[in-house]
Amino acid sequence: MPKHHPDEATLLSYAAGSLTSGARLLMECHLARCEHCQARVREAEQLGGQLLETLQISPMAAMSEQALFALLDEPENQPEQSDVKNRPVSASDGRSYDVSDKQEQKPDWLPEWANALLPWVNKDTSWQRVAPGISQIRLQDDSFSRDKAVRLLRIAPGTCMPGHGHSGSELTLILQGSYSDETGRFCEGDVADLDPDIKHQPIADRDQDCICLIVTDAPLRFDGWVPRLMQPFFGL
Amino acid sequence: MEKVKSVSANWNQVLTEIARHQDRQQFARLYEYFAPRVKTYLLRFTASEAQAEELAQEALLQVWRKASKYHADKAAASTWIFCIARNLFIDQQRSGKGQLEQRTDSYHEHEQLLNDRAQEVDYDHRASVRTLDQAIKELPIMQAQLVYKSYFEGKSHSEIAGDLDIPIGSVKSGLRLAFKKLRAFTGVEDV
Repeated sequence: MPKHHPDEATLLSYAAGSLTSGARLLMECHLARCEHCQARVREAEQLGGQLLETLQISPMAAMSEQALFALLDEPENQPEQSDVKNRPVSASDGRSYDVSDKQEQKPDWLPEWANALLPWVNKDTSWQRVAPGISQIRLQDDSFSRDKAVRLLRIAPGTCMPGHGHSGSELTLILQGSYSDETGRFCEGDVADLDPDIKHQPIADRDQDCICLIVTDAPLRFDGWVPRLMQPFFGL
Repeated sequence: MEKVKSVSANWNQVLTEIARHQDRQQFARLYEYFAPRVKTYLLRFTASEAQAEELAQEALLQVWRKASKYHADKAAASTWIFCIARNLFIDQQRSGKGQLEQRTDSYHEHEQLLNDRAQEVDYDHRASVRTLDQAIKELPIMQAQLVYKSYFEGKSHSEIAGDLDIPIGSVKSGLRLAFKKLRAFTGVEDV
């Protein structure tokens, strides 16, 4: 059970359906292994249901009961399911995505609970080196248009990340290993949901590579000119 | 509070009937009540009346098709229907087809609606709604606006911060506080 959770405001926005796609993807992974947050999301969804009932009505076009019942008999018109990746999983309606065929292509560093990432990575996906001890995989998707960057970062044991602050939101989910910074120690399944005014300098713990999913919606601000030179490499 | 539970429990029962017996008459009742509200919800995300109508109908048809998965002890009917409508909106947004046009500032309009609505609804519904209305009215206006923008405009924290010209940290702390207060009011723990 993770120790560090997303902000309740982030859980509410997830339930409201207003997170960016990248942030939603990260939350789906965390929720898959965090009952604490599942319960919070259910509460926020319940609030959504009650808010729905407070809405005034917009009359629907008149339809006879027969016409309505006829609709019920029609076979479901399958929207062209070009890809079913990244389907939202809701605590309440039990939707799920099918990733069984991707299972054998699973990279060994990807934990079971983060299978929602399988559409973007497989055994052969290569890491792109961005700095000594740091490499990344950028996840691309048309639906990430509202995200600044959605990427996986692999940090070698003991590597010290450049200190940085944020002008927007940054969500970090630990998939493997752990890191420590000014705000605590983050282990597998934990989420760091930092406010923009927090500057931090994560250091990967010494035992193994730390791999995390990071979703940002505004450029990171690095301190000092050397890290600023690195910024283009991070592609932020 | 008692009233709230009895009213939503009623729809839970209706949906359970639909789940167990494919009861069409009950579905017609559910449709009549929820479709116009789901349509209003979807109208927040699309300027097209026709598209909102079509999606609302699709949402309710999904309720029918997926009804066997509904369990009243896990979620209220309204919660379940909200999730279906929300997922439909998310899918639509993701597929990019029809490009739902984001509406910007409909909050004041909504507030007006909250005030006017009491007269036009039947007694049971009014009773259930007033509790939450009350809770929302008791929120500081900024917090109510944050909740509204999250649920009915589909905006992320950064987008809200941009709209209202306030720091993201304030968006998050405001939402956190509002969530806490509304949780207490809606008695969500009881379901």
